[in-house]
Amino acid sequence: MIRNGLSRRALLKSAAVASAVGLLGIKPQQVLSAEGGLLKVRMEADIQVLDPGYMIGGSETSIQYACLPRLAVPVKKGDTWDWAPSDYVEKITQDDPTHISFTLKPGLMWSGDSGEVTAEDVKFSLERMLKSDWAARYPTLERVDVTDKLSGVIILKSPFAATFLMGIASESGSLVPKVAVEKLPDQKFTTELPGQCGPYSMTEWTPKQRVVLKANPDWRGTPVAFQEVQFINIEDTKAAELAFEAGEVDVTGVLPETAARYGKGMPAGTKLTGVPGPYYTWIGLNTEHEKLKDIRVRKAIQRAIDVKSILDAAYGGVAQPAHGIVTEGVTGHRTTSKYSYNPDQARALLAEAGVSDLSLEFKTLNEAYRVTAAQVVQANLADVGIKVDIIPLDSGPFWNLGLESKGDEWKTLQMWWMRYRMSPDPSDGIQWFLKNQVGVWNWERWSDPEFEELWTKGLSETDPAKRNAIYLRMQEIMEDTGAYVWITNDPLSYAHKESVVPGFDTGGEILVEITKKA
Amino acid sequence: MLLYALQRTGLAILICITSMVMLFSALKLIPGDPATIMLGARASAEMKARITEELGLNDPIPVQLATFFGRILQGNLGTDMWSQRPVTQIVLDNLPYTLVLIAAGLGWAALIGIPLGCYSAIRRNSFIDKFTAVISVGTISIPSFVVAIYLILFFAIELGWLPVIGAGERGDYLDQAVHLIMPAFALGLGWVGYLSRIVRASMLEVMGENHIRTARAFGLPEYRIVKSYALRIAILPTITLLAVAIGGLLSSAVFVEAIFARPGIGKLIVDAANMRNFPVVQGGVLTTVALFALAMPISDILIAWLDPRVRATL
Repeated sequence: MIRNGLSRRALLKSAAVASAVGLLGIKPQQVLSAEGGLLKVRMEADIQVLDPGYMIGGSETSIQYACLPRLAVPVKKGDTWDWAPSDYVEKITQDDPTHISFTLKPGLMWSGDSGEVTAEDVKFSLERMLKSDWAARYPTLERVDVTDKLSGVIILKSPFAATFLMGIASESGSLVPKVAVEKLPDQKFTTELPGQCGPYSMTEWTPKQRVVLKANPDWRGTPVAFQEVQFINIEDTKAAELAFEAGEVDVTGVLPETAARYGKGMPAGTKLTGVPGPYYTWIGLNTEHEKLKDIRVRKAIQRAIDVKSILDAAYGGVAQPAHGIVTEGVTGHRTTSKYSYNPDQARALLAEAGVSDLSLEFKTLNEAYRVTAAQVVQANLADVGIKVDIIPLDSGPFWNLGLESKGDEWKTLQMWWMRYRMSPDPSDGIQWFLKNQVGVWNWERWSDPEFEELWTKGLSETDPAKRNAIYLRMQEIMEDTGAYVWITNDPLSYAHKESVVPGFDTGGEILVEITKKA
Repeated sequence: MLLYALQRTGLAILICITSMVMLFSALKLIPGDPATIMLGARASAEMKARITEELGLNDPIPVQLATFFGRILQGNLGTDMWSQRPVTQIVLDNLPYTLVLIAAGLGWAALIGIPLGCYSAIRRNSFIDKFTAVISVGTISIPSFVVAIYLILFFAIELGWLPVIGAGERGDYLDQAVHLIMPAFALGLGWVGYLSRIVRASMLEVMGENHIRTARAFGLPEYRIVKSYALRIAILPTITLLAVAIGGLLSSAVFVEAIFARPGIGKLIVDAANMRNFPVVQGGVLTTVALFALAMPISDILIAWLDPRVRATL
């Protein structure tokens, strides 16, 4: 934290700068948003919890990547995310499906008095995740055995193909100093890192304003491009866009409609970069509801909805249609569907099912773009003779709709707009549609023996091609139920200065340590 | 006078208690499980159990309410459920930014609005009076966030003269002042119109009174009559208006703080509400209600102190 106060020197400096600005006619934005060694990145929400076990996400992830060590990092190999050893290790290898051995580089020092980064820190950091809010990232981790000061073996109870991408190479694989964390109350921390060791060090946090990272002079890994990074807290995306256009931030996420506008003409000296996001959006249909029990009715709805019109109306035309739930860049990403927009076919299916005068309730979170999308659906379905009532809901009632533990709403639930977020492994996105999730998060309420069998196989399969085939088939099974109308894997769009080449993690968060100068 | 001050302060405390009971009940009446609402989709059972335990959501509502007020009496507004920072500290970190913004917004509005109102009253039906009337209605009807956006588009994006975001570097008062220009202008613009209209109406009434006619009969200069005899009485309704303005400005400040990404109590409450961080919402709202509730008795006491006629009725 920074002490408040004005020194004589600061006052004189400010006065001199103000005079120079006035006399030389320099625009303040040019003084305030310096390029070169300083990078200003908009952060959507203030940091709350930097502890990998209890974090919320967003910029916290970016700070963890920049300031904390890890054994592996995610890398794009071709179009798909994979992992690679990090700058902190001499080696890390998967010896067999349940054993991963590692050796840290010597001489990596924690800030403060926590000493060197050791295998004990790895053991402490990964094993504490099992008792944390993010334990699901390590579903089969048993323990970490320390073999010497810098080496150890990570032991899994059973093979789990996503151990790296969901765990070790993700933000949940951030290491923390054992000595310092053990001294903390409850052995947890929030906004103050108990020890740092990375390309950057977090040097300042001004709540609700900014987080400052400075390049770590002792860093011996891949050099960073910017000496200082400021994460500027601007919650409102429209305000962030204005700040970007005024030159006060170098990189910011933008709304779909702004991305569409920028696509026609960017402000001078800036660029737009699209990143596959971690989200998947679909329209769900309750297969157990009386009105939707007949698969021909569900398939008619799949074919009656014009996804392109939804994307044009609700996403400014910048999003691409999805053909499954697995996002781009992740094993199992699907590029085609077995159905397409065909109202004539939809009418024929409804006639075949003997259904007329069908009316449905369409429930959605009360957000402008979702309601817009619902209106398109309403028009599409009216075109084939289905009347739709749109019911926008606040998050409280909405997230309880399909939960059997929260009442009887699931019995009357018919059709809804849904968006989930996933890690860069298909298992993370698909797990919510298993039989054991019926009445929990499988609101479509179906199950299939082949789907369950493939799920078990997919977890331990290590051959990428076979895994890919497994998850493609699983999504095909989902589609064949007629319970899903795939909408999009919501893309993320970032506006940035041409002089900056932003780097991203698997979830589309900015990684400043791999952000470069053009 | 002391009894009057105590009565007004007691009323302010009652307003705070009533508001907090209403807010507390409203939060409890939101459909759905509070822990699920806070954590969103796919929150694990462990996370929900931890939040439920930390916030005492399993306790009966009267117990929760009693615990809440018990903590407030000890000066403890609770703990931020995410960062685990004391809410009192978070509120105190943000409050000065809002107070400075409101003071600057109201300050420049008063500096322009009051003289403008006086001038319009003295030069009644002149071109300036009519022009001021049109401008006043115009400024009153433009929401502060619209003003803010146009200020940014013109002064920051088009001309590049003023910074858009933040509150300036800590300790650098010049930088902070520069960062305050646009937000304060956006916040205060509507109040220029309000104040000038109120002062004008009040001045017109006072200027027709006997003591002003007597002062004129004694041959006192007009500026002295206005300054020393008319404005002193005409300003009294403005003091009440300024107290009411605190409430209005606290609401407008939310938009201005969000658009200019300034820290402040309004933005704190909105951000906390978006995160479903209920302890921070409760602490922030209590503070704003207390500010508003205290501003009213302070203005009443000030008027009683300034106006012997009011004082005589106590």
